[in-house]
Amino acid sequence: MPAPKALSSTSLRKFSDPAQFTFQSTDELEPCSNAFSQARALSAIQFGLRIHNGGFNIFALGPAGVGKLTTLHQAVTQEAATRPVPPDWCYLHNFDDPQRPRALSLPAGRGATLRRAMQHLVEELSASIPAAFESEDYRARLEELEQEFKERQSEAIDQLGEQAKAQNIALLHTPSGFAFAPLSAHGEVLKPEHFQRLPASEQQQIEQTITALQQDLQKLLRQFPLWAKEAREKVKALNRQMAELAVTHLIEDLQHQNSDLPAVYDYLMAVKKDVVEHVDAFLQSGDNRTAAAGPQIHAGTAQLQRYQINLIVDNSSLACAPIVQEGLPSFGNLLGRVEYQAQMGTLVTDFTLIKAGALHRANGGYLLLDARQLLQHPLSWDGLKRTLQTGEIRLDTLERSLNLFSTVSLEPEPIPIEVKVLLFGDRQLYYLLNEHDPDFQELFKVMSDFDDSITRTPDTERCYAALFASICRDHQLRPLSRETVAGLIEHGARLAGDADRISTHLRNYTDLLSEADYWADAAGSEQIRREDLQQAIEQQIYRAERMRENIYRTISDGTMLIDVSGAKTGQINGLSVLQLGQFAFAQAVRITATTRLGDGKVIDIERETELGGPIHSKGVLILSSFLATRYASEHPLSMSASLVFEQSYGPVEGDSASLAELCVLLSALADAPIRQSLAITGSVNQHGQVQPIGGVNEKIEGFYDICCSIGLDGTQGVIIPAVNQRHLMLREDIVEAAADGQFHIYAVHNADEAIELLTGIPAGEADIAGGFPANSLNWRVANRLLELAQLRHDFAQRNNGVSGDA
Amino acid sequence: MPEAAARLLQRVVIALQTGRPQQELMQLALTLASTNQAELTALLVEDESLTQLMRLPFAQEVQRLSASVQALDNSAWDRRKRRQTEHIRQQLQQITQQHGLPTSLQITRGPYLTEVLRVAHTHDAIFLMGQHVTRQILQRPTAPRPVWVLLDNSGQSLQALHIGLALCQSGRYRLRPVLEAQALAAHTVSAPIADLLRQTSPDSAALAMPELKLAPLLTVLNRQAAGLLIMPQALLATDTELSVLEKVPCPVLLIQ
Repeated sequence: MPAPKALSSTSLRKFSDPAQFTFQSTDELEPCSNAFSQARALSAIQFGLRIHNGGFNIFALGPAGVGKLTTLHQAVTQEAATRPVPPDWCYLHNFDDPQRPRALSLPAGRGATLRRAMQHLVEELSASIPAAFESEDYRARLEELEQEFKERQSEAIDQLGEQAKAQNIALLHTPSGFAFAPLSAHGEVLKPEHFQRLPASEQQQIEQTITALQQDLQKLLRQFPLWAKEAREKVKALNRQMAELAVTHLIEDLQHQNSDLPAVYDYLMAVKKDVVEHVDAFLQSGDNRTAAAGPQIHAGTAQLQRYQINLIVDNSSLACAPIVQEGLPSFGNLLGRVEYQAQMGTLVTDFTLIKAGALHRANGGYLLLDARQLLQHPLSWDGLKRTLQTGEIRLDTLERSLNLFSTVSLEPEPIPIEVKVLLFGDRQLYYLLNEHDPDFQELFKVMSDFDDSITRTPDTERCYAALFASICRDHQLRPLSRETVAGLIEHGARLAGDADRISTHLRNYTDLLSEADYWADAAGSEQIRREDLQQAIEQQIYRAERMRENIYRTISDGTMLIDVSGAKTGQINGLSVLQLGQFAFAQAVRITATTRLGDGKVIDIERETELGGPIHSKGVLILSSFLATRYASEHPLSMSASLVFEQSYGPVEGDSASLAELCVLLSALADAPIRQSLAITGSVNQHGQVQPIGGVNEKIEGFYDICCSIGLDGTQGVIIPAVNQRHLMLREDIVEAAADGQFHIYAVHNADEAIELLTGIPAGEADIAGGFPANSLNWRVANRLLELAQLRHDFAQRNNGVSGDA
Repeated sequence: MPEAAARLLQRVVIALQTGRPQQELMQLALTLASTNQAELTALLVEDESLTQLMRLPFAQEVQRLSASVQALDNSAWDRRKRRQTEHIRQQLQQITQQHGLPTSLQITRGPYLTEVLRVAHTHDAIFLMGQHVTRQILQRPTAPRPVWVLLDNSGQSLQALHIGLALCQSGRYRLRPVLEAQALAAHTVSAPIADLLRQTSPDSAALAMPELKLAPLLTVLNRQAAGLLIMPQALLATDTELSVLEKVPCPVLLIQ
């Protein structure tokens, strides 16, 4: 089996040919959405938007930046344009139960009209009612009633006074009432000394007369409040009559204007009745406005406020169904709230302080919400679910929901809702909700799954060119040259980590193009050129690579022990990837192995120190199994081996080093030195087949950079799984180095190919009997294991007389 | 207050009665006196009939509001009188301090009107209390209350009209001039009065009466919520007029 050859430089990066594009600049291209890249997601959204059955709300899932919101907006805008403008909604005072304001739906635009009309009505009433009550006619009729009442009292008192006078008794006015006093013959109040001189019988007679008169007066005075009540009723009736006179024609005008709306008609009837009953409010509103009369003023103002219209949803400016995106979906912002005003040290509210939430505004249309934001705000998710389940927006305050305090508040009439809710968020959130919230599946039946990448074909490359043109236009960026488009597509493939795919991460493209536009501007270019794009990419890396530089410096200065030349037994260069935020880079790590007589255990030191994760441990167990199966199928595996990631002080996870671990173990067993100029990555299965790993480009580039920093000598390279060959989208400098024979990439299918490359010793294929060719690497491993087995057997006989494994 | 009025009023008397509220009348009198920088005399007339009644063994009062009967206590009545006197004295002191007006208090006993006219004959203007009013207010006044001004062609009439106009400037009153119908028809109203009346608002329509007597006017005053009646004292020529004056249901300002 010949050792694999280094891959040709042309297979290390799939270039995009600018010549395939027929344009010189993206200015020439028609705008294009990203629909082509998210066909599945878009189709799901369109389905969700068009189906009107309950619960078919949409959850758009995918990583941040793939254009979920843009796609949702585009699809919703298109769909909303075909749907009618929903009605306006307002809250009105409930004259029967002020704590429960009434909800009223009006055709779009009529809400604002009615609100203005009611404001005008109150102004009109504020003028016409006082005018009516100041009219001569009213005054005359009121004075008539006053006089009637006054005369009734005066006459009764006078009559009693006359009655008393006839009995020689005077009716006197005292500061707080009346008193009877006997009169002398001269008509003056009898002096006490004269009274004393009267005969006892006469004195008694006078006293009896006065007592009787007092009783009559008492009876009379007790009548006065009743007479006053009667008179007040008459005044009230007069007031009602005057108020009706002032109100009727104004209300009737409004009723005529709204004759097509029975609910408004009925409301205006209730307003009329209430105005007539509370006409004092209009009389108070014009006067008594002094600081001392604070509470009264408030009472009067509040009285007039009840005739206002609280237009919570005004759709007059819409041309189609509303699209609402709520960036801060707190409970109140989502479901609306009742606000309070501090007055005289207390919190008060009324229906005019009801504020609409996003659900109110989106009623009859579409509501877009960030799922994470929604879940972060207390009770918002519950509130949204309740609304969707009941089909009505029930306005409740958060304080009351949590029983925080029990201020007398409002219970506004619920508003029926018909809304399509579109949530967007990452996949993890979607699956968590799916798993833990049973209501979720009922309410969000449409899943719109956004792809991270799409297949790279000439067609999709052309589509991407148009998409980039749209991004430039939308963000007022310079147009791109076709070479830049090609470079951007190649960058997209690098982002996707696959030469045959291209990332759909729109935000990355937008950000990169914005930066490239900056550099083009700095260079005074009319277009964004390929070099501007390259500078933007390099600058992005430069800003993020501080940690990478530090690590590579410790390698080049010998602090971290990595050899990139020579050969050593039981020592190999593995590669791992570090992800720091958006920036990923590879780190070379020295893996060493030692072997000795033992009971077949491969000791993973990372695992023993609890630094190795489960997947890494699984990889080690797999290679142990491979060793035992291939080399010790007929005798006990009588070795112990230790594997360690040297100078690694953090957690190690993943199985991408299992091929390196196997190779270093074979090197130790066969006593075959490994070329340190090579690094290796790949996982291995029980049969020795090499399986693909992630981050292949970063790993190769990382080892190349390390070699460059120490000294590139033309022998160095990286061994990768053959399956990863199609993922190669290496940096252009590495492609050039490979073309110049300075750096080599080897793709291997199995462990034998890898160990042969690493040691330069043929691996050797097993014959029918399972034997390996003499002096081949596998023969040396098998022999060594047999030796160890024999040693173990001998050792056991010497000490116990019985083999431990027998 | 126009200059003409200011020059003419030098001594104003306010005639109060024991046991009756005085605040509104005091305020009116203060307004007039301070505008004219006139001397203000408070005349407190003790009701003799009530004093006699207090001393009777069975003296009792029927309360206006509760209709209950309560014994009239002579000592309580005395205390009330002392308190009222002291209160008036304090108010006058305050007026002197704040407005720089000379003030004085006189106390007399006897029939109210007789005593007032006897004591105050040297003053320019006399404020009289209106009749005891038994009516309850049905509702608050919806408009400024009328100030009725009886106008013959005398200089006191002109003075009365000036005072009435000045009060109306506050917005709390509206002027209701009362003229003799014949004078109005024959255009014999004196020129200054006619000139002033022409300047008044249409709301201040004059009331024409066959003759300027209180008896027929009383019916009008009873029918309408009167705020104040201003009249020349000379119009009270007969005893009949004096007896009618006692029944006027609002304060009266007599111009001498």
